[in-house]
Amino acid sequence: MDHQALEAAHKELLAQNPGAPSRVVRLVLPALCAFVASAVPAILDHQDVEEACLDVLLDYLANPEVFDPAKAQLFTWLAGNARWRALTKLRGVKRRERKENIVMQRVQDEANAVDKSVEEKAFDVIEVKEVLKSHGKALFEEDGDLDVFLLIAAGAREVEHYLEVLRLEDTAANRMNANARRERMRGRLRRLRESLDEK
Amino acid sequence: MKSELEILPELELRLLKKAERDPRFVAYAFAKWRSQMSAPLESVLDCDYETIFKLALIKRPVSTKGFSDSVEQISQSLKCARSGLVKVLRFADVADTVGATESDGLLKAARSFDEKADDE
Repeated sequence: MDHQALEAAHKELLAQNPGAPSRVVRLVLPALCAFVASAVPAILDHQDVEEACLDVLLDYLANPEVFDPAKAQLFTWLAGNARWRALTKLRGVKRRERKENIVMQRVQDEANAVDKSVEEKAFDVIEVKEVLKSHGKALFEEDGDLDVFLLIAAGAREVEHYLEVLRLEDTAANRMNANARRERMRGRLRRLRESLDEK
Repeated sequence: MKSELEILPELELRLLKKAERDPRFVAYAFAKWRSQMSAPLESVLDCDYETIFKLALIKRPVSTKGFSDSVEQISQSLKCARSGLVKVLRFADVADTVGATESDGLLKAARSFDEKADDE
């Protein structure tokens, strides 16, 4: 990393030299991604690290005056910000995983309540995990979709279950809302099954 | 057929895609143009894809006092068509105001900028 060239490009950026933004990007982007990836080894998805770096770089290009050269070198400052963003995203992912584990336990509890063999119950859980892993992005569009999916997978029929996971009070309007969310998820699952059958 | 912009390294392309969703950058105006108009940016701006990449990452000049000076400086420095750049930037301003669904309104507005851009 050529820190001198980067500091010079920063000055040009402050002076609104039109060629400066692309110069900064080409000086810093690959090194920034590599550095942050090594600084946050717990992040398994390299794309998340790169997204954090891209976001930090764009914010800097839009407001270069925010960087104070008296406090740090530019690359260090960018890397620190990108690392913080990547870690914040990771914390969000961990929180979601903890929540998923709680709901998965509920699925298992529901499955245990039905008269199925141990093998059938095991396959239910495996299938649900496989759908989560391979098709989660396509199925889950809004908050609560994961919980709705897991209830459907567990065979939950009473609207009270759906009201609870969606954190809705038991009113007529919310019951309709909860049923609509369940039907939307069923529609997505149907379409997913049809698309898999076509392959 | 691949657009020339797709020849950029993957990270630079992804940065560009993000900038296209960010109203602070000229890339945003470029994306608005591409979504509505058939004339390619390289022709409108009379420059190559490398210059388009450089232009895209510049902070978007706002349509207030100083706009003309900013555009003049950009077009001189990066060697692109000044009138074309004005056209694209003003088109994006109108697109934001009119809304993407009103395509007739956008086309009329774009045609009206053909005259304004020549005058500026």
